[in-house]
Amino acid sequence: MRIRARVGRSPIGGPAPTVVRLALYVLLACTAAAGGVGAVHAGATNTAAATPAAGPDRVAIEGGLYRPLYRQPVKGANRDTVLRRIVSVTVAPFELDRRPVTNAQYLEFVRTHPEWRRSRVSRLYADASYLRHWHGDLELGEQAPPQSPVVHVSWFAARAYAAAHGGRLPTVAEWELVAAADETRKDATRDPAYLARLREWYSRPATRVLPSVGAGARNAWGVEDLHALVWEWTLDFNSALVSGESRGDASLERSLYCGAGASNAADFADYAAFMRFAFRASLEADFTTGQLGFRTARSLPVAGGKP
Amino acid sequence: MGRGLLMLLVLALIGCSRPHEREAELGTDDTVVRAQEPSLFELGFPFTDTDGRTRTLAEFRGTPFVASMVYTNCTSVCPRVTADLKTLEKALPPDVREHTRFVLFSLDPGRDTPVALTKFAEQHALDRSRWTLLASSEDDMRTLAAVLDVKFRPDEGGEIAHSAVVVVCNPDGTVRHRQVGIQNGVDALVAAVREAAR
Repeated sequence: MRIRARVGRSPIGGPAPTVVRLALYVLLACTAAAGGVGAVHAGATNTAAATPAAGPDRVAIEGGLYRPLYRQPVKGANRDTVLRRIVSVTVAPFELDRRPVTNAQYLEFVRTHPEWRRSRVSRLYADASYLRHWHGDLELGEQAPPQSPVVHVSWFAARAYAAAHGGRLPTVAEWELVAAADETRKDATRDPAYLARLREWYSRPATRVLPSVGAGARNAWGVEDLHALVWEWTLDFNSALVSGESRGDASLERSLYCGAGASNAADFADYAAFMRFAFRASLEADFTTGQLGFRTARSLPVAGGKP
Repeated sequence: MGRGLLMLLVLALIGCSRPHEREAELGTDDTVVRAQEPSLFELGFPFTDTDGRTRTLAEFRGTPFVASMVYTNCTSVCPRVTADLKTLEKALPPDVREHTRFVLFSLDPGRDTPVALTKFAEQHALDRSRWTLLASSEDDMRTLAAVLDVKFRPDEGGEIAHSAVVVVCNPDGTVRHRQVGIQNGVDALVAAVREAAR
């Protein structure tokens, strides 16, 4: 059994002090090779054929600039210099589910896709904790209320669900862009009061049975439940690369990483974003945990550009 | 909470990396038996090789194979990984070498066309009777990278930062050995291939 399976941490962490929580995330991370920074251009892999209409369940996001937490190595004018810059990512317009996928929705999916039922799923695509909170292959039970976000699903499973619904998983850049908002501002991350609220949400104790989706407020984009409910899978969660070097110079840990490679953190003020980054870096695609769910996204056609 | 402590924890995150372990159960004689080890051959999606032909992973059933994910425009670690795999190839006993296959999967299928892959194979003088270079769709590449637990991130300027992962697979497609990062020497890989060839 992996250690991570016993750590029942939610993004609404626990009452333990910051240091202990971070130590627990170190334990979480101990099964994975650590990585570097994750900002990938959005809208690359939409599997949808038709142009969907944004209904009450989906929100059209006009896109924008996502400013990653981490600096990327960027070559300086002198070939020997490697500078560390925050490189903003342009997020193209896309659609995002208003709420995380629920147990009820996922149940419908496994009804029509039996290969994703708990007793039949391949171990290549999901570990032994897959849907463990359900009563059976097709029975939710009292630990999985229908309107609560589905958890104990792997990245492969989440992706399959998304594809079956004409969508895909959101990228880190897309998710973080939308998650930067509070109720009235699209980017509230420079506001210390907002960051303090996030820290408070992330420090609430986890509940054994998750509450329903949609109980909280909509953010400025109209999206709900990005914080304080479940962690969420992203398409490129495995783009989180963390440097083995803490120095900001050109000596990178090249043996692990290709290319200009590893990056290091620029700013810890947005503590919640750092926690999410660290959490993503600890994940492998077949992992399932009790506080990790997902929502889906869809690319939107960009006029005159690449979709 | 000081930056120092956070950095320490980040370093600890790195330090804790080890090969991905599957669930194991103890047999009655205390040997660890790998239970339910999945096979890479479950990945049924198609690849294109250097000749533009459609290939599948299942073709490699029956012999041990060594695989990595690279891309042809890589200037740092990928050439080193390839060189190490060639060293491994040479270091194998002839009877094992004859039956071992080497597979390089592209992380950059958009640019790694059959022509680009052919050029890469020629530049590295890869013995095509043993080496296969494959590219898939972008979506399928993402699936494969997730299965092999390769971290990657396309950067500004066309490079793809990624972890250097080598897997040694048994003839049934299960992963016997996984190596992350460039190591000093190929002894562990040689040992793994020889075990896989038994």
